[in-house]
Amino acid sequence: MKPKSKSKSEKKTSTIAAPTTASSTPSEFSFSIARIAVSQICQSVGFRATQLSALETLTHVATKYLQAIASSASFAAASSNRTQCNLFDIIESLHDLHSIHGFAGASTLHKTNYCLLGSSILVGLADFVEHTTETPFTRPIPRLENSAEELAEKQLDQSISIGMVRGPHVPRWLPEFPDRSRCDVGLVDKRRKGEELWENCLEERKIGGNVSEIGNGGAVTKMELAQKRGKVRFRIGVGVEEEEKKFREEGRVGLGVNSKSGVCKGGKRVCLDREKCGNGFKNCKILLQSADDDVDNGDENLPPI
Amino acid sequence: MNHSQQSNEAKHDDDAALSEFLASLMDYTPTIPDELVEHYLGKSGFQCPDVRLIRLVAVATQKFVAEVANDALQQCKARQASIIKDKRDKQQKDKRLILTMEDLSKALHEHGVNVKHQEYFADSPSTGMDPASRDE
Repeated sequence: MKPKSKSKSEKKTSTIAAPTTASSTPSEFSFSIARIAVSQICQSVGFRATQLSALETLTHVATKYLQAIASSASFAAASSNRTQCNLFDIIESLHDLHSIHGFAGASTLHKTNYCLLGSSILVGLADFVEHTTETPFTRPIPRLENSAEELAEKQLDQSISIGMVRGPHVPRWLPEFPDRSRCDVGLVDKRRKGEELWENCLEERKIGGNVSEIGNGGAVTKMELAQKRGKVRFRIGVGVEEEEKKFREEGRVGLGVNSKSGVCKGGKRVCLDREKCGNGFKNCKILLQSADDDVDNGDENLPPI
Repeated sequence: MNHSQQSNEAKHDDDAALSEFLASLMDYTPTIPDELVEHYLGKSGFQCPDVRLIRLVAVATQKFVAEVANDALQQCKARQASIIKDKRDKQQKDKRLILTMEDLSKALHEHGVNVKHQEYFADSPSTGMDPASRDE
């Protein structure tokens, strides 16, 4: 067991350095950096060598510790309606994490007069900073500059700083509206296939005056038809046909009118003058607005029965 | 009245010490680099523009790791001291301070982390088996 670890420890520097260069994914990269940092701390404590597995375990614990502080602090911030963490959140999270080990003043944490800033953990950290020799990380870590996100951020900031006026309701991450002066109206006006912008169509109609417009002072203008409409045919009351035939044979005009509905066959508007309607269709005054071949004859030859 | 004044003074002292400490963090460079801390903090949803607070977290982590390593070192030293004298001469060459899994797991146990490590890794599936059964 021993000689094995010895041989490993002799190779320590080389074994640690190797995976750093080979790591590709960001998590591996960050982990290998953390491993170097942890091994530096171990060295400063007094260790001369390490088992690789032990070092990896300690690094894992260290990263988990970091993440535990972060999640606990962000939870504390979120529970008091903030998105950014402050000193108090960090102290709270440190208290949470150290509650297993115990610390001075832990029993008085929840008293009303307790001041978080006087926490013994904070004092311990201050002592640590004061009394341990500074061992900075071996080499500077290059920040990823010119990454896509940062560029986008920069552009956003620039566009905002230029002084484009945007309402407070517009989210910051949305792009700006196009500049009004740059928009060439002539270009936009005529599209390839005779399509037109919706607002232009609207204007034309307004000129025509045929569109009823709601919203101008709440007044609803009169709706008129632009042209004479074509004929429309439809039949209602098919079952009455036989009866109608009878009528015709007898020389009377039925027009397929179902007297109850007041609508007749042939798409005509038929007004039945109720006053003169004595017995059935006897004295019907029939107004035909537009002619239809079938009924035309009947109209002209309307026999006074 | 007197008591409250005293406590107020104590608070003022605390504040002064704290602001001094935070100011000193600006000059102090922790072993764990800021970039790494920011990466892990950002991963867990921690947002903070203040460099001092990020350094504070870095210092806290560094202190934690240093404590664990120190405990492991004490374990290591104690184990080496307990070896019988005649053997010690033999192993004098090996008396180096090595961070081993054994010491580390003991040290981490005090901090509430249970590390279970396999005793050994077998080279092949038949390594640990009875020689008699292996023949069959």
